[in-house]
Amino acid sequence: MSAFDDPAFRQALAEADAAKAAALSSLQAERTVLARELEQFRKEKAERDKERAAAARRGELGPERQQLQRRIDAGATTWDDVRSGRDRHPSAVAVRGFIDRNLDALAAVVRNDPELQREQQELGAVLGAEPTWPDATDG
Amino acid sequence: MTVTERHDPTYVLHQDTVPSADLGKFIEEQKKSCGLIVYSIDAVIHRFTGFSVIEWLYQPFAGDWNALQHMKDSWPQVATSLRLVQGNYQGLKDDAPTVWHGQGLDAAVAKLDAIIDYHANQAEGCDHLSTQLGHALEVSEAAIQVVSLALNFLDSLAQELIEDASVPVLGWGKALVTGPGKVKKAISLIKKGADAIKKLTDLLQKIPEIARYINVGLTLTDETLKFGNTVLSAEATSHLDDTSKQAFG
Repeated sequence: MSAFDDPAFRQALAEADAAKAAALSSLQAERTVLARELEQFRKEKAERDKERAAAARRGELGPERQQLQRRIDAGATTWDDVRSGRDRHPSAVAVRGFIDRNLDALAAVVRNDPELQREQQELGAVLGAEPTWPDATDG
Repeated sequence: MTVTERHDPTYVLHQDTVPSADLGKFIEEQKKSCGLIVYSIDAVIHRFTGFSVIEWLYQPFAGDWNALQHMKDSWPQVATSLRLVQGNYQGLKDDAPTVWHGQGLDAAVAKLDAIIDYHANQAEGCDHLSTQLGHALEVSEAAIQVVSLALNFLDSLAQELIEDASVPVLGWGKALVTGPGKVKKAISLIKKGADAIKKLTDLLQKIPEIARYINVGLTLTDETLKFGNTVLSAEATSHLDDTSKQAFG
Protein backbone atom coordinates (compact mmCIF):
# COMPACT_ATOMS: atom_id res chain seq x y z
CA MET A 1 0.00 0.00 0.00
CA SER A 2 1.39 3.42 -0.89
CA ALA A 3 1.53 6.27 1.60
CA PHE A 4 -1.13 7.94 -0.50
CA ASP A 5 -3.61 5.11 0.09
CA ASP A 6 -3.72 6.00 3.79
CA PRO A 7 -7.41 6.68 4.61
CA ALA A 8 -6.38 9.68 6.73
CA PHE A 9 -4.60 11.19 3.71
CA ARG A 10 -7.61 10.56 1.48
CA GLN A 11 -9.81 12.17 4.15
CA ALA A 12 -7.51 15.22 4.30
CA LEU A 13 -7.63 15.50 0.50
CA ALA A 14 -11.43 15.29 0.48
CA GLU A 15 -11.64 17.94 3.21
CA ALA A 16 -9.31 20.26 1.28
CA ASP A 17 -11.39 19.79 -1.88
CA ALA A 18 -14.60 20.54 0.00
CA ALA A 19 -13.05 23.57 1.75
CA LYS A 20 -11.86 24.93 -1.59
CA ALA A 21 -15.28 24.48 -3.21
CA ALA A 22 -17.04 26.14 -0.25
CA ALA A 23 -14.57 29.06 -0.13
CA LEU A 24 -14.83 29.64 -3.89
CA SER A 25 -18.62 29.52 -3.87
CA SER A 26 -18.88 31.95 -0.97
CA LEU A 27 -16.23 34.35 -2.34
CA GLN A 28 -17.75 34.38 -5.81
CA ALA A 29 -21.19 35.17 -4.34
CA GLU A 30 -19.67 37.99 -2.26
CA ARG A 31 -17.87 39.33 -5.33
CA THR A 32 -21.14 39.45 -7.31
CA VAL A 33 -22.97 41.32 -4.54
CA LEU A 34 -20.10 43.78 -3.99
CA ALA A 35 -19.69 44.47 -7.72
CA ARG A 36 -23.40 45.25 -8.03
CA GLU A 37 -23.38 47.50 -4.93
CA LEU A 38 -20.27 49.33 -6.11
CA GLU A 39 -21.72 49.94 -9.57
CA GLN A 40 -24.90 51.33 -8.03
CA PHE A 41 -22.96 53.51 -5.58
CA ARG A 42 -20.78 54.91 -8.36
CA LYS A 43 -23.83 55.70 -10.49
CA GLU A 44 -25.45 57.58 -7.62
CA LYS A 45 -22.18 59.26 -6.66
CA ALA A 46 -21.73 60.51 -10.22
CA GLU A 47 -25.09 62.26 -9.93
CA ARG A 48 -24.15 63.76 -6.56
CA ASP A 49 -20.78 64.85 -8.00
CA LYS A 50 -22.60 66.68 -10.81
CA GLU A 51 -24.94 68.39 -8.37
CA ARG A 52 -22.03 69.37 -6.10
CA ALA A 53 -20.03 70.74 -9.02
CA ALA A 54 -23.06 72.71 -10.27
CA ALA A 55 -23.61 74.17 -6.80
CA ALA A 56 -19.92 75.08 -6.64
CA ARG A 57 -20.11 76.85 -10.04
CA ARG A 58 -23.11 78.88 -8.85
CA GLY A 59 -21.07 79.96 -5.83
CA GLU A 60 -23.37 78.20 -3.33
CA LEU A 61 -20.41 76.42 -1.68
CA GLY A 62 -18.37 79.58 -1.11
CA PRO A 63 -15.94 81.63 -3.24
CA GLU A 64 -12.92 79.33 -2.69
CA ARG A 65 -14.82 76.24 -3.82
CA GLN A 66 -16.23 78.21 -6.78
CA GLN A 67 -12.73 79.23 -7.86
CA LEU A 68 -11.45 75.68 -7.42
CA GLN A 69 -14.33 74.32 -9.51
CA ARG A 70 -13.51 76.82 -12.29
CA ARG A 71 -9.91 75.62 -12.26
CA ILE A 72 -11.04 71.93 -12.32
CA ASP A 73 -13.38 72.73 -15.25
CA ALA A 74 -10.52 74.47 -17.08
CA GLY A 75 -8.28 71.43 -16.58
CA ALA A 76 -5.85 73.43 -14.43
CA THR A 77 -6.13 70.99 -11.51
CA THR A 78 -7.78 67.74 -10.41
CA TRP A 79 -9.27 66.43 -7.18
CA ASP A 80 -6.25 64.13 -6.87
CA ASP A 81 -3.94 67.18 -6.95
CA VAL A 82 -6.09 68.97 -4.39
CA ARG A 83 -6.26 65.93 -2.10
CA SER A 84 -2.57 65.14 -2.33
CA GLY A 85 -1.42 68.72 -1.73
CA ARG A 86 0.29 68.99 -5.14
CA ASP A 87 -2.01 71.88 -6.03
CA ARG A 88 -0.69 74.90 -4.11
CA HIS A 89 -3.06 77.48 -5.56
CA PRO A 90 -4.73 79.57 -2.80
CA SER A 91 -8.15 78.13 -3.69
CA ALA A 92 -6.80 74.59 -3.25
CA VAL A 93 -5.05 75.49 0.00
CA ALA A 94 -8.27 77.02 1.35
CA VAL A 95 -10.37 74.02 0.31
CA ARG A 96 -7.87 71.62 1.93
CA GLY A 97 -8.33 73.63 5.13
CA PHE A 98 -12.12 73.10 4.89
CA ILE A 99 -11.61 69.40 4.27
CA ASP A 100 -9.36 69.00 7.33
CA ARG A 101 -11.68 70.90 9.64
CA ASN A 102 -14.82 69.16 8.42
CA LEU A 103 -13.32 65.68 8.51
CA ASP A 104 -12.14 66.37 12.08
CA ALA A 105 -15.71 67.33 12.97
CA LEU A 106 -17.06 64.17 11.35
CA ALA A 107 -14.43 62.03 13.10
CA ALA A 108 -15.57 63.50 16.45
CA VAL A 109 -19.19 62.65 15.63
CA VAL A 110 -18.22 59.11 14.60
CA ARG A 111 -16.19 58.48 17.74
CA ASN A 112 -19.12 59.52 19.93
CA ASP A 113 -21.76 57.55 18.01
CA PRO A 114 -22.67 54.47 20.11
CA GLU A 115 -23.68 52.43 17.05
CA LEU A 116 -20.42 53.20 15.27
CA GLN A 117 -18.44 52.49 18.45
CA ARG A 118 -20.05 49.06 18.51
CA GLU A 119 -19.20 48.58 14.81
CA GLN A 120 -15.60 49.54 15.52
CA GLN A 121 -15.39 47.07 18.39
CA GLU A 122 -16.72 44.31 16.14
CA LEU A 123 -14.22 45.26 13.46
CA GLY A 124 -11.45 45.16 16.08
CA ALA A 125 -12.56 41.63 17.03
CA VAL A 126 -12.46 40.56 13.38
CA LEU A 127 -9.02 42.07 12.86
CA GLY A 128 -7.75 41.01 16.28
CA ALA A 129 -6.58 44.54 17.04
CA GLU A 130 -7.45 47.62 19.05
CA PRO A 131 -8.32 50.81 17.17
CA THR A 132 -5.63 53.46 17.09
CA TRP A 133 -6.43 57.05 16.30
CA PRO A 134 -4.10 59.04 14.09
CA ASP A 135 -3.47 62.76 14.70
CA ALA A 136 -6.60 64.69 13.82
CA THR A 137 -4.86 66.59 11.02
CA ASP A 138 -3.54 63.50 9.21
CA GLY A 139 -5.14 62.57 5.95
CA MET B 1 23.29 -6.72 -21.70
CA THR B 2 22.69 -3.33 -23.28
CA VAL B 3 20.21 -1.10 -21.52
CA THR B 4 18.50 1.55 -23.57
CA GLU B 5 15.99 3.99 -22.12
CA ARG B 6 12.62 3.84 -23.83
CA HIS B 7 11.82 7.41 -22.83
CA ASP B 8 13.96 10.50 -22.22
CA PRO B 9 12.40 11.97 -19.07
CA THR B 10 14.46 15.15 -19.24
CA TYR B 11 12.78 16.58 -22.33
CA VAL B 12 9.60 17.16 -20.34
CA LEU B 13 11.55 19.23 -17.84
CA HIS B 14 13.19 21.40 -20.50
CA GLN B 15 9.81 22.50 -21.84
CA ASP B 16 8.44 25.85 -20.75
CA THR B 17 5.46 25.45 -18.51
CA VAL B 18 2.18 26.59 -19.95
CA PRO B 19 0.20 28.21 -17.16
CA SER B 20 -3.11 26.42 -16.63
CA ALA B 21 -4.58 29.85 -16.00
CA ASP B 22 -2.55 32.95 -15.33
CA LEU B 23 -3.80 33.26 -11.77
CA GLY B 24 -0.38 34.26 -10.44
CA LYS B 25 -0.14 37.16 -12.89
CA PHE B 26 -3.75 38.17 -12.16
CA ILE B 27 -3.12 38.21 -8.40
CA GLU B 28 0.09 40.25 -8.85
CA GLU B 29 -1.77 42.80 -11.00
CA GLN B 30 -4.60 43.03 -8.46
CA LYS B 31 -2.03 43.55 -5.70
CA LYS B 32 -0.51 46.50 -7.56
CA SER B 33 -3.85 48.21 -8.20
CA CYS B 34 -5.00 47.52 -4.63
CA GLY B 35 -1.72 48.94 -3.33
CA LEU B 36 -2.27 52.22 -5.15
CA ILE B 37 -5.79 52.53 -3.73
CA VAL B 38 -4.81 51.51 -0.23
CA TYR B 39 -2.05 54.10 0.07
CA SER B 40 -4.34 56.88 -1.15
CA ILE B 41 -7.22 56.16 1.24
CA ASP B 42 -5.56 54.62 4.27
CA ALA B 43 -5.21 57.85 6.25
CA VAL B 44 -8.86 58.80 5.65
CA ILE B 45 -10.20 55.35 6.53
CA HIS B 46 -7.94 55.15 9.58
CA ARG B 47 -9.25 58.51 10.77
CA PHE B 48 -12.82 57.20 10.89
CA THR B 49 -12.49 53.52 11.71
CA GLY B 50 -9.42 53.49 13.94
CA PHE B 51 -7.77 50.82 11.78
CA SER B 52 -5.14 50.96 9.06
CA VAL B 53 -6.46 48.94 6.15
CA ILE B 54 -3.00 48.58 4.63
CA GLU B 55 -1.85 45.94 7.06
CA TRP B 56 -5.05 43.95 7.22
CA LEU B 57 -6.23 43.86 3.65
CA TYR B 58 -2.96 43.85 1.79
CA GLN B 59 -0.32 41.96 3.74
CA PRO B 60 -1.93 38.49 3.35
CA PHE B 61 -1.24 38.72 -0.37
CA ALA B 62 2.46 39.49 0.04
CA GLY B 63 4.70 37.01 -1.72
CA ASP B 64 5.50 36.03 -5.28
CA TRP B 65 2.33 34.61 -6.81
CA ASN B 66 3.96 34.24 -10.21
CA ALA B 67 6.48 31.89 -8.58
CA LEU B 68 3.68 29.90 -6.96
CA GLN B 69 1.94 29.64 -10.32
CA HIS B 70 5.22 28.41 -11.85
CA MET B 71 5.57 25.77 -9.14
CA LYS B 72 1.97 24.69 -9.60
CA ASP B 73 2.58 24.26 -13.33
CA SER B 74 5.96 22.56 -12.85
CA TRP B 75 4.90 19.75 -10.52
CA PRO B 76 2.85 17.98 -13.24
CA GLN B 77 5.94 18.10 -15.49
CA VAL B 78 7.92 16.45 -12.73
CA ALA B 79 5.16 13.84 -12.43
CA THR B 80 5.28 13.17 -16.17
CA SER B 81 9.04 12.84 -16.08
CA LEU B 82 8.82 10.39 -13.17
CA ARG B 83 6.25 8.32 -15.05
CA LEU B 84 8.62 8.17 -18.02
CA VAL B 85 11.41 6.97 -15.72
CA GLN B 86 8.92 4.45 -14.34
CA GLY B 87 8.31 3.32 -17.94
CA ASN B 88 12.05 2.88 -18.47
CA TYR B 89 12.29 0.62 -15.43
CA GLN B 90 9.25 -1.25 -16.67
CA GLY B 91 11.07 -1.81 -19.97
CA LEU B 92 14.15 -3.01 -18.13
CA LYS B 93 12.02 -5.43 -16.13
CA ASP B 94 10.21 -6.66 -19.26
CA ASP B 95 13.47 -7.24 -21.15
CA ALA B 96 15.50 -8.72 -18.30
CA PRO B 97 14.16 -12.32 -18.69
CA THR B 98 15.49 -12.43 -22.26
CA VAL B 99 19.07 -12.16 -21.09
CA TRP B 100 18.99 -13.14 -17.42
CA HIS B 101 17.83 -16.34 -15.76
CA GLY B 102 17.75 -17.83 -12.30
CA GLN B 103 17.57 -16.40 -8.77
CA GLY B 104 19.45 -13.24 -9.76
CA LEU B 105 16.64 -12.41 -12.17
CA ASP B 106 13.96 -12.98 -9.50
CA ALA B 107 15.75 -10.65 -7.10
CA ALA B 108 16.27 -8.01 -9.79
CA VAL B 109 12.61 -8.16 -10.89
CA ALA B 110 11.50 -7.74 -7.27
CA LYS B 111 13.74 -4.66 -6.88
CA LEU B 112 12.59 -3.29 -10.22
CA ASP B 113 8.95 -3.74 -9.19
CA ALA B 114 9.68 -1.75 -6.04
CA ILE B 115 11.38 1.01 -8.03
CA ILE B 116 8.49 1.14 -10.49
CA ASP B 117 6.00 1.48 -7.62
CA TYR B 118 8.04 4.16 -5.94
CA HIS B 119 8.29 6.23 -9.11
CA ALA B 120 4.52 5.92 -9.47
CA ASN B 121 4.17 7.13 -5.87
CA GLN B 122 6.54 10.06 -6.48
CA ALA B 123 4.52 11.05 -9.53
CA GLU B 124 1.28 10.85 -7.56
CA GLY B 125 2.80 13.00 -4.82
CA CYS B 126 3.78 15.63 -7.41
CA ASP B 127 0.23 15.63 -8.77
CA HIS B 128 -1.16 16.13 -5.26
CA LEU B 129 1.23 19.04 -4.64
CA SER B 130 0.16 20.69 -7.89
CA THR B 131 -3.51 20.24 -7.01
CA GLN B 132 -3.05 21.80 -3.58
CA LEU B 133 -1.09 24.76 -4.99
CA GLY B 134 -3.89 25.14 -7.54
CA HIS B 135 -6.44 25.28 -4.70
CA ALA B 136 -4.39 28.01 -3.01
CA LEU B 137 -4.15 30.00 -6.25
CA GLU B 138 -7.84 29.68 -7.13
CA VAL B 139 -9.05 30.74 -3.68
CA SER B 140 -6.45 33.54 -3.53
CA GLU B 141 -7.70 34.85 -6.85
CA ALA B 142 -11.31 34.83 -5.62
CA ALA B 143 -10.30 36.42 -2.28
CA ILE B 144 -8.26 39.21 -3.85
CA GLN B 145 -11.15 40.03 -6.16
CA VAL B 146 -13.39 40.56 -3.11
CA VAL B 147 -10.67 42.58 -1.36
CA SER B 148 -10.09 44.62 -4.53
CA LEU B 149 -13.81 45.41 -4.86
CA ALA B 150 -13.99 46.34 -1.16
CA LEU B 151 -10.97 48.64 -1.58
CA ASN B 152 -12.41 50.25 -4.70
CA PHE B 153 -15.64 50.83 -2.79
CA LEU B 154 -13.70 52.29 0.15
CA ASP B 155 -11.85 54.53 -2.32
CA SER B 156 -15.15 55.86 -3.73
CA LEU B 157 -16.50 56.42 -0.20
CA ALA B 158 -13.32 58.24 0.86
CA GLN B 159 -13.41 60.43 -2.25
CA GLU B 160 -16.99 61.43 -1.57
CA LEU B 161 -16.30 62.11 2.11
CA ILE B 162 -13.46 64.42 1.06
CA GLU B 163 -15.42 66.15 -1.68
CA ASP B 164 -18.43 66.61 0.63
CA ALA B 165 -16.05 68.14 3.18
CA SER B 166 -14.58 70.62 0.69
CA VAL B 167 -16.94 73.41 1.68
CA PRO B 168 -17.00 76.04 4.41
CA VAL B 169 -18.49 74.90 7.71
CA LEU B 170 -21.88 76.40 6.83
CA GLY B 171 -22.26 74.13 3.80
CA TRP B 172 -21.17 71.02 5.68
CA GLY B 173 -24.41 70.27 7.57
CA LYS B 174 -25.96 67.84 5.10
CA ALA B 175 -22.72 65.90 4.61
CA LEU B 176 -22.28 65.70 8.39
CA VAL B 177 -25.60 63.85 8.51
CA THR B 178 -24.75 61.39 5.73
CA GLY B 179 -21.09 60.95 6.83
CA PRO B 180 -21.69 58.42 9.65
CA GLY B 181 -23.60 56.20 7.20
CA LYS B 182 -20.58 56.23 4.88
CA VAL B 183 -18.29 55.36 7.79
CA LYS B 184 -20.59 52.47 8.74
CA LYS B 185 -20.44 51.25 5.14
CA ALA B 186 -16.65 51.57 5.19
CA ILE B 187 -16.47 49.39 8.31
CA SER B 188 -18.70 46.75 6.70
CA LEU B 189 -16.46 46.74 3.60
CA ILE B 190 -13.32 46.21 5.69
CA LYS B 191 -15.12 43.32 7.45
CA LYS B 192 -15.98 41.80 4.07
CA GLY B 193 -12.33 42.07 3.00
CA ALA B 194 -11.19 40.52 6.29
CA ASP B 195 -13.75 37.73 5.89
CA ALA B 196 -12.44 36.96 2.38
CA ILE B 197 -8.92 36.75 3.77
CA LYS B 198 -10.09 34.45 6.58
CA LYS B 199 -11.62 32.08 4.02
CA LEU B 200 -8.27 32.04 2.21
CA THR B 201 -6.19 31.48 5.35
CA ASP B 202 -8.57 28.73 6.55
CA LEU B 203 -7.95 26.91 3.27
CA LEU B 204 -4.20 27.52 3.34
CA GLN B 205 -4.05 25.95 6.82
CA LYS B 206 -5.28 22.66 5.36
CA ILE B 207 -2.47 22.47 2.82
CA PRO B 208 0.45 21.83 5.24
CA GLU B 209 -1.42 18.79 6.62
CA ILE B 210 -1.65 17.33 3.12
CA ALA B 211 1.93 18.36 2.37
CA ARG B 212 3.04 16.44 5.49
CA TYR B 213 1.47 13.25 4.11
CA ILE B 214 3.05 13.88 0.72
CA ASN B 215 6.39 14.51 2.36
CA VAL B 216 6.12 11.22 4.27
CA GLY B 217 5.28 9.44 1.02
CA LEU B 218 8.18 11.00 -0.86
CA THR B 219 10.62 10.46 2.01
CA LEU B 220 9.70 6.77 2.13
CA THR B 221 10.37 6.61 -1.59
CA ASP B 222 13.73 8.32 -1.32
CA GLU B 223 14.79 6.07 1.55
CA THR B 224 13.79 2.95 -0.33
CA LEU B 225 15.63 4.02 -3.44
CA LYS B 226 18.81 4.25 -1.37
CA PHE B 227 18.95 0.44 -1.01
CA GLY B 228 22.35 -0.95 -1.93
CA ASN B 229 24.97 0.88 -3.92
CA THR B 230 23.94 -0.65 -7.17
CA VAL B 231 24.20 1.13 -10.46
CA LEU B 232 20.47 0.73 -10.72
CA SER B 233 19.63 2.68 -7.59
CA ALA B 234 22.27 5.33 -8.30
CA GLU B 235 20.71 5.84 -11.69
CA ALA B 236 17.27 6.07 -10.17
CA THR B 237 18.22 8.67 -7.60
CA SER B 238 20.14 10.71 -10.15
CA HIS B 239 16.99 10.88 -12.23
CA LEU B 240 15.08 12.20 -9.23
CA ASP B 241 17.74 14.82 -8.57
CA ASP B 242 17.66 15.83 -12.24
CA THR B 243 13.93 16.06 -12.06
CA SER B 244 13.87 18.46 -9.17
CA LYS B 245 16.80 20.49 -10.49
CA GLN B 246 15.25 20.93 -13.90
CA ALA B 247 11.89 21.90 -12.49
CA PHE B 248 13.01 24.25 -9.78
CA GLY B 249 16.54 25.26 -10.68
